[in-house]
Amino acid sequence: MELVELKSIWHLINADISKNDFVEDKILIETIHMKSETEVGKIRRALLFKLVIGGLVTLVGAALLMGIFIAPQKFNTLDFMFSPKETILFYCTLIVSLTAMLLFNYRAYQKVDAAETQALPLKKSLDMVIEAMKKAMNFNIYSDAFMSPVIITWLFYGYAYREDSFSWDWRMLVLAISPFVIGVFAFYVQRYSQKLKFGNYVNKLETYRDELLEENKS
Amino acid sequence: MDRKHLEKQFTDKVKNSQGIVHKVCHMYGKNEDHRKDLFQEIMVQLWRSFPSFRGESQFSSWMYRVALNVAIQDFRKIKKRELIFFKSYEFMDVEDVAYDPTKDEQLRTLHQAIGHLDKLDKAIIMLHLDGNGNEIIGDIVGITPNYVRVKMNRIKKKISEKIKD
Repeated sequence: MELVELKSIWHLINADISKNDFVEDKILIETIHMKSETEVGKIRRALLFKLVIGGLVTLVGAALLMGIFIAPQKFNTLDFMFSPKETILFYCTLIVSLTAMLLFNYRAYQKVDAAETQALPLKKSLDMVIEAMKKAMNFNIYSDAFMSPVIITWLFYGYAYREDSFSWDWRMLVLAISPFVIGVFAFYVQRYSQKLKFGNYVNKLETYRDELLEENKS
Repeated sequence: MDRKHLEKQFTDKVKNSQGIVHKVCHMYGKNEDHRKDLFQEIMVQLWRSFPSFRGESQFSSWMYRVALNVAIQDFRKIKKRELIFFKSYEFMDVEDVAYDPTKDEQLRTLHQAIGHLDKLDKAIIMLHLDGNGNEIIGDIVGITPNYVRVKMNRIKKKISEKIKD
């Protein structure tokens, strides 16, 4: 079969599409407001969710921190675990860590959003989506590897020293080692999870991108 | 610009050129559900990308870019989700049996010839069949016109080999 024959079939199909498949304005408007189910759309929504939750927790933490300074007895919501000084330190650590995380989260979100909304040529779009997906995946891995030790170590500290003040004993050893162990564990778990969720997808996109890079070899 | 006005502008532009989206869906859809799903996904992305259209390129080129990007980057397992359109008319399924014989034959021939090509080759042959020159194809795909020519030669070879088989 020659291309000329294919072209004539293609024209016939086009004529049929114009006659039968075209949809009305009302349906077009309904369609555009549906949720995107693409992998990029999914990872963008996950980043947005983290951004909103992280932002809210940071705001609540900042409000409670200010409250402790104004009325320590009233706002020390963690008095069952921490002294007012420890609570201040806990909130400070939480706010600084979350702010740093939110900054990276926002940058990853922007990148993914741009990859989704810019009508780029296929090759550039593949490059951009691959880069954005990797950035978002890395953000998810490193934010978990960083935040999990911070929160768990603080909680362990609060629980271990709930009845007496800080002292140099086995608890101190656990406190010193646990951030590293939890961080490494969280890193590998999250890396595995991200690879499971998006690894194949990124690999396939890379195959297509590489196919277009063949230009340099030919 | 308010949302309603933007929606009107969008639908005015898209409704006459929606054939591009349908063609992409026919080319990449594995069956009727997949084609409908792809149509909705492309429309969602066209709407999300609409503010980025500044008229620097032709509207049809812009639509091709968005539609092909969605189709090429789509590897989802086909699952049924709420499909709000095509209630009266159903896309024809190449795997189905009951067809309009003429159209059935045309679709079958087309799918026989190009169904085995990979996603990028499909994009290039589709743009070519639609009458676009190497310059425009290169602009949409993001490669040089010279490389489009190389790709076209390889595609033609693949098609004739497949037909011989």
